[in-house]
Amino acid sequence: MQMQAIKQQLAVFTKIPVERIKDDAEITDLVADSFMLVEMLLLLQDHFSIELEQEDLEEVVTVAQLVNLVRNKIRAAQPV
Amino acid sequence: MDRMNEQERWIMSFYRYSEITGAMFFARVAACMPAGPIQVNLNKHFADESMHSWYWTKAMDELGYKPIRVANAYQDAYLDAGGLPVNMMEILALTNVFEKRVIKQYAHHMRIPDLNPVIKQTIEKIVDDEKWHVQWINQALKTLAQKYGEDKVNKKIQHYKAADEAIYQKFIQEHKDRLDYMSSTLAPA
Repeated sequence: MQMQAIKQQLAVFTKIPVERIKDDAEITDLVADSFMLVEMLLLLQDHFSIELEQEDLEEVVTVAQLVNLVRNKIRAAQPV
Repeated sequence: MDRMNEQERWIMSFYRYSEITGAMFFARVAACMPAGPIQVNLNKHFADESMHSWYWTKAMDELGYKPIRVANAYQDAYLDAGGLPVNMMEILALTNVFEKRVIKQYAHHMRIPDLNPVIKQTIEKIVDDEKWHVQWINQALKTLAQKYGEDKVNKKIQHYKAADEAIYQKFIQEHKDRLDYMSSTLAPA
């Protein structure tokens, strides 16, 4: 459910239909340039009330990896 | 066009393109910033960068130079060498380092003997804004240090400073032929 919500946000930003956003697609292929990628990451943080850091993205290449990262951040931000 | 004019045309085109790139970057960031003091200053910063690109375009037109298409802006090298900033603190840490580099570069340019008054006035106008950019960013980083910790903010600034040193040396080497008319003013990074 959460994974779909994250992919939905990617779809809203990129204007790519969610069903066409493949898990193994590289996130850099979803955007025109690195500036757009920064904007997409800022919007994800704002939408899900999470904080990402440069180091978090070091190993992130694909949509699935980004979705997992955001999902883990959402979980970590939730009160126990 | 003689060699010096050709070099002047190239560096003005490079400045112009860097200002355009800065405007495009801040446009992206300003578009998604939540309301607050950072949003207000960042939006002004974005407008300034856009104006600076216009100042260079106007100056080139006055001097009869047609802007050259520049392949890469200085900012592109930052993202390659320093990595993508992904939160506001990281964006401002990178910008803090970058703005200082811009001020230094324009200061080098101002030391060229018999500098054309059109270029001199353009740099003076831009540097006034750049000083304000450094000021507001420093203030914002102080505020953000309360959230991230001073140590983390300083580490990120140092990270981008190291990237900047490497990029600047590479830039000077790569464009040696184009910069030799101002080489006497270019100090090591």
